[in-house]
Amino acid sequence: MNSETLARVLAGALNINASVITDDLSADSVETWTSLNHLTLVISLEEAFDVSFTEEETVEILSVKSIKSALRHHGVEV
Amino acid sequence: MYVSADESLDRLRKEGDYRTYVEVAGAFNNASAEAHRPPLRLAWLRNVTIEPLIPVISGEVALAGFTPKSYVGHFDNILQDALDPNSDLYQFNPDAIVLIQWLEILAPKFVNRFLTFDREGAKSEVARITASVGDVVGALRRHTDKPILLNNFPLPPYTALGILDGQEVHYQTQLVIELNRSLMNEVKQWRDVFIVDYMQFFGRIGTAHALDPRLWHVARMPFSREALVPLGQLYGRFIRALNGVTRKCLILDCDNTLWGGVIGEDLASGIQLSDDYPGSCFKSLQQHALALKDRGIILALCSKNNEQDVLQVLQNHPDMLIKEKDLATWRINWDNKAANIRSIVEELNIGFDSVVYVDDSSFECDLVQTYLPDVNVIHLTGEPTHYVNLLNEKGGFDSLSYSNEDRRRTEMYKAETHRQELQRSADNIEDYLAQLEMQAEIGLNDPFAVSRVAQLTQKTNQFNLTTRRYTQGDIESFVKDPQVDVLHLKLTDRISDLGIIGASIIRYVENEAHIDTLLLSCRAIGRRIEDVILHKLQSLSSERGCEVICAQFIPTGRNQQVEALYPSFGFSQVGNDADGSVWVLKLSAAEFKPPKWVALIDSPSLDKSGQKFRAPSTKRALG
Repeated sequence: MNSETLARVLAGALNINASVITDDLSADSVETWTSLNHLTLVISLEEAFDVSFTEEETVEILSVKSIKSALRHHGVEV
Repeated sequence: MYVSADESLDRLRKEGDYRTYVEVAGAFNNASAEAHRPPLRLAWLRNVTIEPLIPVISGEVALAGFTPKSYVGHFDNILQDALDPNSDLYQFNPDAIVLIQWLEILAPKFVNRFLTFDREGAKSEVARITASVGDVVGALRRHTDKPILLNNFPLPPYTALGILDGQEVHYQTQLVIELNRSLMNEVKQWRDVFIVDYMQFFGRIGTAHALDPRLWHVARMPFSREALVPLGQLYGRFIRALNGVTRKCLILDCDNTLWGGVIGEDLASGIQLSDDYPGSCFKSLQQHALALKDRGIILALCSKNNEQDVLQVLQNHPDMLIKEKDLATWRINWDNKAANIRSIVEELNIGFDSVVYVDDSSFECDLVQTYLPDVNVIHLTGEPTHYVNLLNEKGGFDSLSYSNEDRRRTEMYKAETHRQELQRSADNIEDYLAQLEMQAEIGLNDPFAVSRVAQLTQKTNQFNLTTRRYTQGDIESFVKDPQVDVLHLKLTDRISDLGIIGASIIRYVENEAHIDTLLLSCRAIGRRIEDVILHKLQSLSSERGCEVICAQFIPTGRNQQVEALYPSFGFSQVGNDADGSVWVLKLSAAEFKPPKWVALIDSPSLDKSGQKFRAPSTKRALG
């Protein structure tokens, strides 16, 4: 359930096909993962999982792996 | 799979959260503009990060029926974009320009070190900020006459003087208010420049909640996550109003909507309607409906009840605020509500897309929404205490003008119902029209009519041959243009004064008169007023030495009723262009008779330099 939501949010904010999403996906490998889309992504994630990232997390969660670990840190099982 | 545009829009109508807006924006990014969803191009100039707001705007544009296209100017590059006629901004060819300027960037000291200004210094800082915003708007106006939206400034959440700040008019909070007022006055010098009232918005949402220091410091974005959707929706209301997507009529259910309880069961004496809870909730809703009526929204009832029972409540219940005189019409019977609403729409001569229907029953709401998808159905759910908020949030009644016609609208529609009764008693249409004792006054290039004519072009959908939407600025330049005539028609009859209900714009090109616009407000349809206008067009064109009148019919899906207008006046079709059919009438062959049923009064007209060139002639009956 949560991983589905995560995929939907990533696909929406980065305007990519949900099927290409893997843990290895990162800002380096996705052209549309710009700093501005990143902001939209962070806001969408916070809304979807009802969490508030710290300042550090906000700027550092630049891969699917690190997003998942930050979400787990906030008690979201994903 | 990518989500399709339609699929994502359906989802957005149900769940208006931020990530769904983001999905819609993405879906429209991938889709190209379609014929039924023309592009709407918005240019954003800003001195802060606003990118996360753009998906919400795109969703709102899509909900209003357009394909969103956006240009976001470089960070703090506003004046360069505005001044250079070849800038990316003007290359983008926007339909409207939105300025978002944050006070902390425009005037950091004013925000962060307020007390370094003395009293005079603070006043001149207000003048400086006003002038700098004015410079941008002025620069934009030199290159474009498209609508411009700009924000004013939220009140500071914290002030240099703390609680002392509230004690003097020259302290910080009051000076921000003064700045906002000064900004409002500054932009009055231009047409179609509108303030997006951030002071009001952040007051409603709450600065503590709507401003996020984290996003400010990390990304220079002032808005919090919670503010993005409501702020985007606020812009959405402007977008709708600017594009004529406006609701004009509020149809209310009765039981558990206008009052608590069911009159069939609780009887008139048992319903909840009073100054105490829970009756007070319903009284508030009635107040709200009447406030909408004050600004020109027509009210009607649609209820499954015995008509007599409801009318009893309207006439006799001491706490009933809405009276028969406030209603343009009603359908109180046991028929299905979709059919009743359709019949109201026909009687009032409005479109389904101007109707808001409010009901507490999910069954009725679903039924109406299914059969009449263009109606804005508001389902009253949850506690009655929130009903007024629901109506405020979802109504969609916004308009960017307010005229005398608006103030008197319900009376005019009510009079229309009387007229329809008269019509039933008259034997034929001409007798009926004669009984109305109509008087038409035609005005030409009248600066005082500019605002109403622009409003008519924005709002008229049915009797509108070309459906070209014009701003006040557009109409004003037509009025000044020696090759263009802007004609308006004022109508009174023995029942009421209908105000300005018709307009036409004619452009003269050599020996041809081109009808750019020809429209009649829906409440004047069916009175053959078009005869008066076409007669006038003919004489104007002849006076100009024109040989032919050229006209166009552009179908929009809502103006079928005028599809055959031109042939009925003897125009011949000469072909089609990209927009619709093209018609021509040779003036030598034309023989429009002025209609017998309208007395014509020439209004004092002005020539292009503002001088009166034709004395007001006395009233003359025609025919």
